[in-house]
Amino acid sequence: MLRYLIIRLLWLVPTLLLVTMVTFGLSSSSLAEKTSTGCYDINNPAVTAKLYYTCLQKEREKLELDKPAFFLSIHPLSEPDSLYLFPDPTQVKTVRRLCWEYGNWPLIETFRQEVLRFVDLQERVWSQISSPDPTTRFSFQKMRVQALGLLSSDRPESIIIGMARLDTLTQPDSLRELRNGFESLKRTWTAVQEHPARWRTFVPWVTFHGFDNRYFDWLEALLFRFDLGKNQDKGNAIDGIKNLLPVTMMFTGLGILFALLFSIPLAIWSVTNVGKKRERAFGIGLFVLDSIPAFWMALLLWMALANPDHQITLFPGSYEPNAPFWGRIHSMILPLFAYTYGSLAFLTRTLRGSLLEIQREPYIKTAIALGYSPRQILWRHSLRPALLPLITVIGTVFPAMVGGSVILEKIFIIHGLGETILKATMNNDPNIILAVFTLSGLLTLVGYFVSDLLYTWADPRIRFQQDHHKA
Amino acid sequence: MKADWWQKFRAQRRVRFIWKMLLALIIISVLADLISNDRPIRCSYHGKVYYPLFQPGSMVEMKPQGGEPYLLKAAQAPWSTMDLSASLWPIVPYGTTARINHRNISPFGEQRTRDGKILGPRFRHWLGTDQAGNDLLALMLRGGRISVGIGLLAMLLAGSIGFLIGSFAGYFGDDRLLLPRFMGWTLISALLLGIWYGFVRRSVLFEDSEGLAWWGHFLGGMLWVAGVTALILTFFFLIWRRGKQTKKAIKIDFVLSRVIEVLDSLPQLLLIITMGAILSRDIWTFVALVGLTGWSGVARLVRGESLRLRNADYITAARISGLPSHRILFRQVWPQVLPPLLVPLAFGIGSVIVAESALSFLNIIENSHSWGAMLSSSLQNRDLWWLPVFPGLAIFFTVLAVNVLGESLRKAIAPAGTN
Repeated sequence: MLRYLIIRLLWLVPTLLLVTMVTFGLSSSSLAEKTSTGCYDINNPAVTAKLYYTCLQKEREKLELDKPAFFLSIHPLSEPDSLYLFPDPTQVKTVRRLCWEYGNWPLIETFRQEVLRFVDLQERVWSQISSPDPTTRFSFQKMRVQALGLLSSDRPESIIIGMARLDTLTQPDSLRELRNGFESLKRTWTAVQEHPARWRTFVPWVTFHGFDNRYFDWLEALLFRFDLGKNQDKGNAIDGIKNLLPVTMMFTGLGILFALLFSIPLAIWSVTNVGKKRERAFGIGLFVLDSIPAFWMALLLWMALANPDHQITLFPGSYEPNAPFWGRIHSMILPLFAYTYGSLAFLTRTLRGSLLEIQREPYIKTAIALGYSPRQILWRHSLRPALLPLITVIGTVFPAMVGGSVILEKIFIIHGLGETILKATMNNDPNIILAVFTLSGLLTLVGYFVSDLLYTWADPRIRFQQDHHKA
Repeated sequence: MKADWWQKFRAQRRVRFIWKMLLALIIISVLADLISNDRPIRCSYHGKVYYPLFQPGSMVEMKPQGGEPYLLKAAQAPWSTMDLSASLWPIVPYGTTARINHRNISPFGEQRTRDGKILGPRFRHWLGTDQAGNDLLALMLRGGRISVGIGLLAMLLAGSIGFLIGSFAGYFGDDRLLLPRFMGWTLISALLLGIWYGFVRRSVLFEDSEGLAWWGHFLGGMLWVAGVTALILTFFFLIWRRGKQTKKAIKIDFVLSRVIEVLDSLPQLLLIITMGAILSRDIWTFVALVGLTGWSGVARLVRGESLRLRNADYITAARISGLPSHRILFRQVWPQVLPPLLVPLAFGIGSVIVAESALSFLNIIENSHSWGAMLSSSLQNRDLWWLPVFPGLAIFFTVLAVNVLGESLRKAIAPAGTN
């Protein structure tokens, strides 16, 4: 028994690590695509390309995005191993697309460097012109747009078109210097085109980045400082959750408590009245109730009883945490009803089923033969093992309730964890998602562990064995 | 000969009733565009006879009062305001366009068009209209196919994954899957390499593809996985034939049970919400996510059933007579495990429908046009009671029907005397 529990506990560690890795991978991929908004507009001719890219670089350093995401990365040989260093996240896509088309990363890299050099040169030439006429100004602006467009065009066709336009724009004799720059740019592009290496896309390549990566940093912060990173508004993710968790926990906890308090007597009543007409009706009623979506019921209740636009409202339209005690209770009645209702029918039906099943067990027959009264048998012999399925349910209750609270908190306007999750998913706030996921994963696993412990209390016959099917 | 449980299942009176109800729902969903449409079936307009419902592409010569006549596609003509004679309308004379309907019309009381004309009983909005002026009944007839289709599709996916994994884990256990030495590792590395070729290498293709194109690339990726794996395995066998054959048992049950445990320890709804937010918030991603995360319950059940069967006498007899493992699995185990699997699948359809409607209701799934999506409009205007009531009732009755089906299946399959 002890050995089983220890093994179980040890399994928690790799499971949780796996969960965080998967979630981290998914959420960081969405973070990497985020374009930074704090920088100047590159399309503004007054902003030089150099200034723009340094600014982007700084932004990424601030967000700590200039590190690899994980210990290692797996990519085709055609792609660079340092994509995370790219200042402009939108250009990672174009680079990868070009690498997919041509497969010769070093040549593509020289081409991109040449484009930046050309833009630089163009800016310098422009600043040397003392009194530009409108046509020159226009052609210089066009040149700049075309050249910068080369960096973000991911198809060969659009690069070819861009090169042709630049070709015509640099034709005038007065732009000798620029013409030379364009010629060398063109040479690098023909090199890319003439030496394709598609075979490199077929070679899998693994690059090790070492411990200086974002996942390890995140894990380190979580383990040693219990810090789950920052949310989008630059606040601590853990603080946001810490403030909201009590509200959600209160509603979910009270909900499950009430559901248990009501379901146990209901199930006992129904089992003691088995076969009677009213019990059949009760069973059918439970079945029907179980099919009503809880959130729909909640919505209808809100509309009927708490709608502030109506003339008569029995309940306040939202949960008021700052109201005086009775006011707060008053605003809690309707949400609590919805929370309870969501699992009441299900719990009662489960408990009733398992109670009925246990009535057929031989040891109950023995108890009857020994002359125990039905009441004694129910309370002493059947109820405890019948709680088994309920225990399993309670083990899974927390995550289900957090999921359910996303909906109920929206309907009853409660500011809790569910609302935060909803907002985080809508705004794609990865650290919040990651924090919620890690916490609920941990709590679920702990719930399973506790339900395992409770199992042995409820049914003394249960002994956990690893190899039960090897008979 | 039909199976015993099937006859027990069909013999129940409520099953026959529910069966008809679901059949009606499916027929309505399939024929929704014919039952409810804003184009008449047949009509005559200025002496010419048209069949606009069946010929949406045909041209109509419009003759406005005191204006030049012009041509218009039948699908774009405002049929309900035109001066028609001898017209035959579909049962519900409204489609998904809301050109002339008033917004927020209550199902009771006087109803008017935007021009102020009072609507007669033939053109009444029997269930009212929503904020955009859509006829609620017309939307509901179309929402059913999304809601029910999603439920069926997702549970089909989850069911088949769970069935395969559960029956493999349960039947083979830790000692019956005998493979040539190193075969397991070859298989794993072949799969990893296949995934790399199918998905990592081609991930650029996924990045800017949307909607159905995503699925095309996904299927292409799966083909790569299958091809690469098959190639490596063939290579392995070609080499293997030359060496001597020693076989080793693979602990498949242990591995798959751990996978099931990991999946069970993740909160499913949260997983779907977050993964959906990261991947894509459309309905197909939801189906795929439910299928890929919701199979653990089915797998556990099927594993338990196959575990019970693996030591049954007839299986032992088949094993002793030298039937290969896959034959036993396909012919002896699967037919026995299939019926109990249907029970969680039936209940699963109900919960997928509810989950989908909840997520559409919260706008986490975008533009799904399901019953749940119709509920979401009631959050913006909490006064209009008919907006949540009717689609919600549709969800409720469908879920109830599916649950009754599941319950009847359970009763038919359960051994005698246990219910």
